[in-house]
Amino acid sequence: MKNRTWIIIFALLITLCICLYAFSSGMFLKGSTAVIYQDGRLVEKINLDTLTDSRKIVLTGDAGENVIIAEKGSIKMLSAQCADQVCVNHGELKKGGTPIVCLPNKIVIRLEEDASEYDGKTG
Amino acid sequence: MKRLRLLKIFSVFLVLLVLCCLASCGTQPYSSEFFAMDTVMTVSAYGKNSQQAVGSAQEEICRLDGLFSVEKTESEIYELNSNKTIAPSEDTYRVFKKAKEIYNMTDGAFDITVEPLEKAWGFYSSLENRVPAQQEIDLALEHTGFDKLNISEEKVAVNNDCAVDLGGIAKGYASGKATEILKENGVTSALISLGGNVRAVGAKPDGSPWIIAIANPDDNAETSGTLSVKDRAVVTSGGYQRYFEENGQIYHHIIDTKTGYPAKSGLKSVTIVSGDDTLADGLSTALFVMGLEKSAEFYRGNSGLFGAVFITDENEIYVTENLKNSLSSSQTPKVILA
Repeated sequence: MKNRTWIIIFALLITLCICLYAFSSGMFLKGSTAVIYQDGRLVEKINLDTLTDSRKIVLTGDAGENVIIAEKGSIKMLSAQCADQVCVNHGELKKGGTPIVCLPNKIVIRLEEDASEYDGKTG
Repeated sequence: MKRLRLLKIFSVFLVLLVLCCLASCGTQPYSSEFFAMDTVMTVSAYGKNSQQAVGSAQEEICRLDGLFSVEKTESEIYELNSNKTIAPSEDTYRVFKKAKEIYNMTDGAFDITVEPLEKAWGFYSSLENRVPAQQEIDLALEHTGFDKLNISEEKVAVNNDCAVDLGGIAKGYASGKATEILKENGVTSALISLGGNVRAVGAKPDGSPWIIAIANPDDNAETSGTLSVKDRAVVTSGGYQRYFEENGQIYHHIIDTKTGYPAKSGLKSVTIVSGDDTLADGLSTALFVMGLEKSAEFYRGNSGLFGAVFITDENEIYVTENLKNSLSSSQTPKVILA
């Protein structure tokens, strides 16, 4: 093989290294944490990128039961007992997309960016 | 020859690639945020099995909340306060035993029989804050103290008109149990935050210490300094955490069971660092009540058990000798020698 071919292979490998590191160290993962609020109160916060199994969250309200399914990289409203089904029809929540809202049961699911100068805070 | 050299270089890159992959594994924690013990809690754990470990820890915290809550009608503490006697679960018994230990070592500065006083001041969500009449305080004071409480493995009983509140120790006990569960599940790096109680499990995934900020008592959005810790509970008690104002006077929720009034000890906050979560929680309240001078004396006799950071009413920062190298602050802290 010619030297040039080797150089191209090395360059590709280096790029792959950088990409892999960046992806798994969270450089591109902002917005992958989903927060679920009901009636203004935080119910659950889930880092979608570290999920290994799918998670089912069931919330109840005046309009019956809502079932939320969180999987690696995605979250959606699986079912709702209300008449309009707007939240179910919203489909998967995507980065930059509008939050999933269930008005009858006052549920909001949105993505949040993580940022902190320290690891924890006491007080 | 040339090909051999190229092969060598190629191998080096392959090794680098593998190292990159390995290094990046597990750098994202699995986190869960939920409501328990009247506060927002977060459990974040790194590495394999973290999702299951965090789930189990969360379950345990919620179970303990169900036992220790003073306001939930199905809790053991509610039952004790209503019926004046219970057959305690193992966890409840252990908390009472620890509470008594801290009560004795702090000369009563930490006291779970504070409930009648907290109630008089209205520091429960079902009540309204108010300044009680002196007569009412005197009456409540008669019903506080560990001599009104009988503790054994089979039975816990309180005198009539007395009641207990585990608010100053329950979160510490819960974070200790959650830490145990995380470790049992193979987690070596995690951070638990139960309101103001922080628990660093092990070190950060890269082996460096966790950086825990201490809230500025005057502005909770700001910090007064940071502590570098590994495998320690960091708990703060401060008058700013819960208070009300009446006729221009501020009344906070940390009641001195010797006077019946919010503790006026010259401190804005006390942060305790200890390997014992329950002790850290109880001592943060106790040392806030005791004030700087008594706390310094207490530290000299117990420096192997904990470290502390004090922020005074004048915004001076004091740190115990065993923590001085862990504390980073914009102002130079005064050191309390062991």
